[in-house]
Amino acid sequence: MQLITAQTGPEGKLVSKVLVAQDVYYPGESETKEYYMSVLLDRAKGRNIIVYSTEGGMDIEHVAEHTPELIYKEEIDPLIGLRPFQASRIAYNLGLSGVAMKEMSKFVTALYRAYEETDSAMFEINPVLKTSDNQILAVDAKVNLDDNGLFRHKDYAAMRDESEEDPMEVEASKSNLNFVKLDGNVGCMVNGAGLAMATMDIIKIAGGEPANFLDVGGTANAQTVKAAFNLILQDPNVKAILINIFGGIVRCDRVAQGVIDAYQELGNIRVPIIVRLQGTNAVEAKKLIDDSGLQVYSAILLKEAADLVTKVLEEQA
Amino acid sequence: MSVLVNKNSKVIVQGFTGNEGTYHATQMIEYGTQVVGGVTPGKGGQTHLDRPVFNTVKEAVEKTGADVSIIFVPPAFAGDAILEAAEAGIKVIVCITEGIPTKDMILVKEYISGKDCRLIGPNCPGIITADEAKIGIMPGFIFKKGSIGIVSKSGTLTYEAVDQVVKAGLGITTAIGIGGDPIIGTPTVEAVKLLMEDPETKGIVMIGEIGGGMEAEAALWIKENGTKPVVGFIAGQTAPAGRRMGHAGAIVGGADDTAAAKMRIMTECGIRVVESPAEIGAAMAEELAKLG
Repeated sequence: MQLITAQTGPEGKLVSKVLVAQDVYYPGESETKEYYMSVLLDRAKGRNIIVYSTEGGMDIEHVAEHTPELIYKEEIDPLIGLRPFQASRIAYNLGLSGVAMKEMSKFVTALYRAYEETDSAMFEINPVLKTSDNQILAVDAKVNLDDNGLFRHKDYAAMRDESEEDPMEVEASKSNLNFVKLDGNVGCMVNGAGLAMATMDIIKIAGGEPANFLDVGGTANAQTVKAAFNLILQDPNVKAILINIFGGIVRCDRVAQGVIDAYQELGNIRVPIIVRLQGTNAVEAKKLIDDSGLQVYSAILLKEAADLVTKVLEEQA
Repeated sequence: MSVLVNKNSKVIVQGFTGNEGTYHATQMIEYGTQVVGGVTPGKGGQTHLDRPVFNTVKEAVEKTGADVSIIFVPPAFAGDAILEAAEAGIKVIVCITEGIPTKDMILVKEYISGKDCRLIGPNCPGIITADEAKIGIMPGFIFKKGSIGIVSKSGTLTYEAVDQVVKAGLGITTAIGIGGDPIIGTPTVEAVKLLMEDPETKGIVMIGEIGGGMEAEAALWIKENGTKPVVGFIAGQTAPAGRRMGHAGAIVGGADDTAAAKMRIMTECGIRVVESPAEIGAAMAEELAKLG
């Protein structure tokens, strides 16, 4: 079955597993009630916070915009952790009393402990349900794990389901390339994440749209360049490729040789390549590219590379 | 004058005898940095790169008088390495390591907030004062001495900016790579403050990226307290929401941390914001020329 929601986009997602659960909205001594609760990092404070609201089961951004007074925050001091009085305060602020209040305190305490012990980056429980017999349950959950903490949780890493990911991104991660697929017409390969984002921006300014984010990391050798070419060329929308390397520790002439070797090995590159190499041995690198006889444009300044992108796109228009 | 580090800084390397530590310590020494020793637990008493190796940071500080440390320790142990440096009295701690779990950094940040020390990074290229001291992994030869200070979340994009500034005939005082993680020791605003107070620095280049609110915070501070021209660039104008772009902290979470939102508030606060990363150097030269 293909599931189509606001999150999946119009093409939808193939459903491969279905969870069958008990109906917890059964009638009983009191009304059921839904709440919102999430645990996440407050980047400005450098601390975890618990965000919660009486308005559960709905879009929290909508609540934040229209009734911000119904959203509460509890900040956790990392040295002492979540204290019992804080868990109680959350339950009281949610308007609970008696058994339900105690159950909510327990729920909050367990939730925060789970967040901490799993090295999570975000928990969002929407809704948290109070059943008609005053149990507190998580009825839906979104969990983001901290990638940097996964080495401590090999069992979670093993649960990764690659069939749910973009196949190009899965292939990239196997070659140790940091890759995000986008919808544009100019592919790029860059060393360093910040420069990679900046290169995407310059493609846009030059009149194209970036087809991907790709950080090849500190060692841009023939092998990584080849893997990157293979990846980018799978995308039929790609009309040109911009390689942008700032050589510091990595020497530009080595990278240039890597590009030439990869190009010759692949043999069937159908789009123009623009190579911008700056830094250590940039002049030697440009000469290597220019003398190679390949359909590769070379540049040293970023501005020159941008102008070349504009030029090759105009030629194809 | 300079910011945070200079030719008198005495530097130790944590993770001294490993591949990364050895390679970059060698480069730092060649640049002229006073590397006085290093720490590798279990190898104390040995000599490496003609310098003493210690088991603990405390011992290294006692024997060498080191006041700066650079950390090349794997992610699982890097948080502890920062704590050890802070506890031993190191004043400037530069953590290069990428991939430290956020949970570890929350605790580290809380602990060092009560200590007399400054953390740069993690996940950063380090800090360099041109012609004096390089405590990092950046290519030293591009940093020609001059009058511009740089603050940046990124590595190679910093080198790009530096190269443009140098080619515009201006040169660098100190460049601070603050790091691309969600939790870092020195946020943008604090690095900007340091450069604003440095008499040798005549202009500041501030390079940010999508995610978080550090650039907006710095912009508001500059609006109230700025005394020097600031050129800004935000990487990730074309980045889609909700996707992490390489750096752990580079992810658009809401309406306030997009590149467009950051560029808007920076412009409102009087910062010269360039859309193209190719215009950073030229814009800085223009802003300085306006001062006459």
